[in-house]
Amino acid sequence: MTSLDKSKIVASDPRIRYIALVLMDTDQILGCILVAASLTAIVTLTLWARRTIHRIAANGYRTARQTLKGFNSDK
Amino acid sequence: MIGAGVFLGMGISIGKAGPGGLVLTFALNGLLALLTAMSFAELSSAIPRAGGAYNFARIGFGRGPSFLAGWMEWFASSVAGAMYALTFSLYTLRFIERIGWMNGLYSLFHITQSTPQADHLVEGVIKIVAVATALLFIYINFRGASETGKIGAIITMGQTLFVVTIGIFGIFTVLRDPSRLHNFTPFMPYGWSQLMATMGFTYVAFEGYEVIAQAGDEAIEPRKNLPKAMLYSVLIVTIIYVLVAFATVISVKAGSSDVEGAPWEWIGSFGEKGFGEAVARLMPYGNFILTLAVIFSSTSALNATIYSATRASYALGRDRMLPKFFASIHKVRKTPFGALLCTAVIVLVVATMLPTKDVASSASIMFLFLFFLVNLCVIRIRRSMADELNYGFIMPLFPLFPILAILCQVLLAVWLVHMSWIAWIVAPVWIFTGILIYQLYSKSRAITTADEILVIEERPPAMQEAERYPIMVALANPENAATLVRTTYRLAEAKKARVELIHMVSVPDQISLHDAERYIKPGKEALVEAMLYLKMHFPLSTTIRYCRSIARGIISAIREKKTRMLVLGWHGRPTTHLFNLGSTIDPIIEQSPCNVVVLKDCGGNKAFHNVLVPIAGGPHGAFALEVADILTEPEGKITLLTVDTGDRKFDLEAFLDAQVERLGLGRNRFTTKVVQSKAPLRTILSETWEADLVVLGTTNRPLILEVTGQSLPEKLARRCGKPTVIVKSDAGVRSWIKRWI
Repeated sequence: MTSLDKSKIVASDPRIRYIALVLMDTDQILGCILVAASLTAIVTLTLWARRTIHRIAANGYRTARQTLKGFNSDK
Repeated sequence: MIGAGVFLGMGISIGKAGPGGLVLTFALNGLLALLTAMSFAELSSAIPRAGGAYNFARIGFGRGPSFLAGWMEWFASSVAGAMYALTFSLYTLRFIERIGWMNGLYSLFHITQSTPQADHLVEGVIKIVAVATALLFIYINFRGASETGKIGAIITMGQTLFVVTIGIFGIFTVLRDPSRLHNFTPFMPYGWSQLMATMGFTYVAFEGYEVIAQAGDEAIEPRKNLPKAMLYSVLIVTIIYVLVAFATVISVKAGSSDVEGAPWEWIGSFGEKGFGEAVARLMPYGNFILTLAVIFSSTSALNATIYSATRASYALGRDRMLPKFFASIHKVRKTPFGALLCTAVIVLVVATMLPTKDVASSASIMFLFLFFLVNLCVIRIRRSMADELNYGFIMPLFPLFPILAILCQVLLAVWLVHMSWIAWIVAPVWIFTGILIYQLYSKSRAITTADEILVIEERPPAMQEAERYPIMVALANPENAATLVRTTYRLAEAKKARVELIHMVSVPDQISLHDAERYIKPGKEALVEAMLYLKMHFPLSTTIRYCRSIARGIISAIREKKTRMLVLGWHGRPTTHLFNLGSTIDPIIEQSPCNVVVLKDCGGNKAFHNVLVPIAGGPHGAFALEVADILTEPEGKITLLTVDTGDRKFDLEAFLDAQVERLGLGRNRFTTKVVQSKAPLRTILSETWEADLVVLGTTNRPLILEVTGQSLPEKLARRCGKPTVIVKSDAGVRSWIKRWI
């Protein structure tokens, strides 16, 4: 079965679209994981950074040592 | 930030790395860009001033590296400007050709379309239009910042709208026709190694966030808004780029008429114009929409890079690292026309002389080098100025992200040679030229800024004494001097040393260093006090300096004078919970590139006969042993104590034998004692009652863990009622790595 046939199966019947995952080769699976992982990491880090920025702004701007100690004592 | 990098990069990258490689290129580059954006965000929040990388390098590493940062930023932004002008020209002419308006030009020169002569003609016209576009935006920048800002805002909105439209069309196309996912097979036709080359090549598409750092002086609440702007821009741009890359791959239906080979091969065969061909197939009016997107994004990026390049070269001129002409301000427009003129020369020369692909590669490689330097700056500045700067953002897992970014940037820069060897000639030539200019011109002319340390009085050692072991003694006031001289005498005698007395005068930020004479008196008295005692016995030199931070001033003097041992006093009183020993001593212990001896209550005529050295196998134990041996009276005894908590075994006898042999000490005066206990602090404190001096090594815990509270040696030093010496030995790079990671 060629790749084109595989995609036709996926296109023709929505119920078996999950088969697409089974039909993917190693490179494609690895590629999808890498893209998803990097986008997730970017979103997570940005949201985390946003929280940190607001937290620091609310507590007043202090030195790195004071800020880190403050974070630690908040825990 | 969404500029020509993405339009040029799509076609070339899909041909090089394949369909999967294209999407991965932009996803992974986004992650890498975010790591460096975090460094920029942290630095901009702590130093919210105009100047960007140049400023950071100046504060982190001093004049030389800062000149190089400004020099690279100037060139990188100028080359990027040339690239945007070329992309604008390339895509605009492609559209004009598609609608048949080029035929008039062909007939004017009597040549036929799609012949080598026609290609040469188009290439020439592309260069002319690029130069004209660059000139237009150079003029807009000359007109002033308000015009620049207004135009920038309009075109940024426009470009984002068009590029997002392309991405959305890609998603709808796949939902309507899922068979287009077949275009992702083969996923990586030439292997994963090609990914490195395409990531390096398209890195320039993510560079825009560094321009935000240039706006430090103008932003509202910069400590909060600059880091947010940088991180949001990377997030938004990465998502858009991944969407657009996806849309490019699925834009062409396999097996369509006039599509030869696989869709990715067909798109890649058009090189830098490949993205245009893809979008034309993807959506109705694709050519028109794409041309509008390119017009908006290229001109916006061109505008921003000319602005950034001009400010970078202006800063170099303002600090006299480049000739005064670079700092010339136009009388009417109030814009830096000297720097703008020189930037214009680079933009125009690069746009005219180099092929588009090499221009893009050169811009990418320069930004990789520049960001490499910024990642070093963030580590250096957090390490050396963590107690001085107020931060609006602190990155997590420090210093993991900057180190990861540095490694990736080196790797990408090396791999870029596969895309353009010309870039690997242009970039090093520019950097070496910069180093040469700095050595021959800038070094002697650069203006000293108010932030630097000011040497007030200095008596250097005599030439014949310069080779002796240098011990530096930091003096604060006459009382403190009296407590340090006796111990210093013992150490200097044992080491056959010369002594450097230093007094750092801390001057508040509101007062200029040059007006700080009134703070000098106690320090002078301290120097005289110490000199009275030490001058008779040892070669002596003295120095008085003004600075903003005592710790930084002392560390800088240690580096400058290549000191091997620093002696300083500690009052032993409780300090804030933020520090172990104090806001001055903690950074000195952490950062001094030499052995450090901190004395608590060791003044007067105290003689030490019974010395206790608590040892736990840390790296400073051997130096503690050596110092204890020097300070103990000849007939005195030294007890090495270790507390066995059952967690790990430490062979105290073997340690002592090895150190005695290594240091050439007398074995008889040492005794060992092992106590089994689960409470080491209480046990050691109880053992100190009969000792008249306690010598202990400082903590060896990584800095990252120290925020959780004081470590055992520091708690011990604080609670111990006996004279105490805390020592830190310097093991060079090894101890640096161990302490930081």
